[in-house]
Amino acid sequence: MNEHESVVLPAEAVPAARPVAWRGAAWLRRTLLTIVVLVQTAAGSHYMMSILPYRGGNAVELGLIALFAILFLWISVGFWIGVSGFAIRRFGGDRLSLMRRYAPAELAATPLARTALVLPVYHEPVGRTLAGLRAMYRSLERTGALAHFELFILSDSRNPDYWLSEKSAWYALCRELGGFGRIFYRRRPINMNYKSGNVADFLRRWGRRYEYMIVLDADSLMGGDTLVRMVQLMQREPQVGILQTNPTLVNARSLFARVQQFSNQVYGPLFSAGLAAYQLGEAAFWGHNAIIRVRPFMAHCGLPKLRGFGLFRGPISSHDFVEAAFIARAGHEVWLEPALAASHEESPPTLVDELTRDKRWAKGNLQHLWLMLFEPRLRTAHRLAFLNGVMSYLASPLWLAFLALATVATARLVLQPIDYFPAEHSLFPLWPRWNPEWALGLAGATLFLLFFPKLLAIVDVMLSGRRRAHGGALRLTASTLLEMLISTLLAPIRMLAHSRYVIEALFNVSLRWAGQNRSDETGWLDAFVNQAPGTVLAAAWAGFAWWLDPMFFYWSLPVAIPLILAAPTSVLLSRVALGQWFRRRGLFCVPEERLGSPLLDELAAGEAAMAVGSGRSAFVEAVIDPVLNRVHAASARARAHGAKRQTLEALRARCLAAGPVGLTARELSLLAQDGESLAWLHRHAWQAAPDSWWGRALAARLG
Amino acid sequence: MSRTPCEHALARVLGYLRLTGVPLTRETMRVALRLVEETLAEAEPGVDEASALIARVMTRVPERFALPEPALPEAFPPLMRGSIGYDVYP
Repeated sequence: MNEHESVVLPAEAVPAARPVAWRGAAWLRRTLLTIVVLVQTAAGSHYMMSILPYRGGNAVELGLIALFAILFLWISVGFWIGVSGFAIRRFGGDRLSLMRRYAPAELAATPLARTALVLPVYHEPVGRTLAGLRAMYRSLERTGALAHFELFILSDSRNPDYWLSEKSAWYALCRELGGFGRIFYRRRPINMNYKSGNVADFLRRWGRRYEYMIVLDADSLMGGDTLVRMVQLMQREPQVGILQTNPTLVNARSLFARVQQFSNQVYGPLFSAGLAAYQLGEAAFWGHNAIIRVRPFMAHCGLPKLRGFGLFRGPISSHDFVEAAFIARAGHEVWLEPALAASHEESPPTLVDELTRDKRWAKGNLQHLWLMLFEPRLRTAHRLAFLNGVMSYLASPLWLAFLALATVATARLVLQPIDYFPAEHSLFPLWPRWNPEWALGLAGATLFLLFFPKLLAIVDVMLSGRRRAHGGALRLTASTLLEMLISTLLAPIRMLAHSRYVIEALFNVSLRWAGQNRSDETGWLDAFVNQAPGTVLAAAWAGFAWWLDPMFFYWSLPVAIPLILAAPTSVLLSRVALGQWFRRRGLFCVPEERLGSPLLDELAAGEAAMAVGSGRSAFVEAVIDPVLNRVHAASARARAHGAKRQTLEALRARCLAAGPVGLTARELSLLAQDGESLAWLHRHAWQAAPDSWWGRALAARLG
Repeated sequence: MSRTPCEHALARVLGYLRLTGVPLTRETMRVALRLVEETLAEAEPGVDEASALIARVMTRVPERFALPEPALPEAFPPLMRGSIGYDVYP
């Protein structure tokens, strides 16, 4: 028995779970939600029909009513989830939730089991990523339960400068924390099937070693107490296959990220409480900040290749929802537990970064349509979770279609002769009538559905004693109003971008507008070029609306103005200085900013420590630094033979003569993966003449 | 002013020792100086003096100094392989 095996506790050490009948409650809650939403949608659609000039008497108006019904239903669901979340929080939380089943002392006394913290990475900022792992390690250390956890960096990075940096940083981390034999690094040279393939590779190698694994994202940050509590809950509830926390956004600096962070922390608790109450044991897995019971996950969550056509053929790119659906199909429960605090992630710093991520997610979520329709024996709740994911993106082209049909309807009303008999075989004429005041009523109702939960969230903050953590009542209210304004400005930009992603995904094409700006802040030129199609489209549409009917023009403005202003909006929101300006004035504040957070302090300290020497080339360091050279050489491949050896010898010679600058990333990877080549280069670089490439590199390194 | 070959060689040796983690004590520096001096004495005239000197000096570093062995971490634990199940439902 080795030191790790000694910490595994026998299964009988965990008291048996008390069965909780949640399925009846789930059925009742979901049925009520369905009835309320359908009634509300029917009423809204009927009202919509009465507003239209021909009361749904032609194809265009019927299309408008159908689209309105779908979209109204969609926002109604969100509204009631928010309202339900508010009610649940005001009544002290959901009595059916996992955390409510145990007294804190009872849960704290639960024995732990061996758990892996897995951090899949692919070309991530090494300093930030490993500083996060460092903070979690330290936090776990303080709980006294570190012996039960092992940490894995699972790299899929292909660029040698990235993976050599990762490995060097891992070694430095092990040395600093005394983490040898507890923090591990594995790089997968062939990275098939994205992140899910990376995790599957880990499970194939070490799956039987662990009872649980906690999956992280590169920007995840979780407190040690939370990690321990998650394992204890899983120990208590053996039927639970996945337990998902609700990660809150932290560490934001740009204005865009701070606004997202504020809305996530103020509105998020309501929506997560409401969502958890309806999902209960059939929740979704969001891919990270969650604990997984390894054995059933391995047995049932292998992802098949899709066998459809186009988008619906090939590997599944968005794995998490599918894994939740599969483990539930095998009889296990999946829970979202919002009461598990100290679970964090970060927001994309700019709108451009968010939209780049959304492009990937849009494709992944749309792929789920196939599974939703054709995958056998999935639970209905998970089919609906797929639908929810699909609608997150499909809603945008539906809104766009709604706007297009509204324009057509107005144009027909203005440009075509009035049709007094839209219905066939009707003896009575219909007088087309446009009631702008009624339309205002409907628009007001829609805005109420969108914004009322946000106002409830402020009330929730006030009543739960979190007001000061958000800057006080006045600043909280001002921040919320500003957030509403910014989200109103962003909504049409997101709508247009998401519509484009949906079309690209469904038709398997790539519509290139302009290159993406990937710097920290968005530049003016990039923004104008990138947003130009939307701006031109919006200006043309608003101009056409004015020409048709000034009243229609005024209706177009809430969509047209944000699109016309898209470039400056994108640039200004990306500014860190502006984000910090608002912070100094106490706006968009979150508790971590006002009250401090030991976890974030630890993260900042780790980032500062890892920033030392981060400007140097990782390959050059791996060659020059005697210690790192030994570390990299020891974990590299064994001696090559035959043609490969000849290739390596030629590459070494080229690298020694002219430095690594003339070699491709693939050639550098080949050298860095070969222990003998690394040792050879190290020896010869240190013997190189002062005026050679390596002589100059050494002089620069030694100062 | 450009450095002499001896200065280059000495800087290289001391730099290597520092990065390896050898404390640069008086005694260590004396050994380094002696190494450069001895190697210089053996140098053949007419060849590229700096590069030949540095190469020879650096070849002898492991013989003259007790270089510490870095603690090499275990990259990963022993394998405990499992397999991924792909449920097939009719």
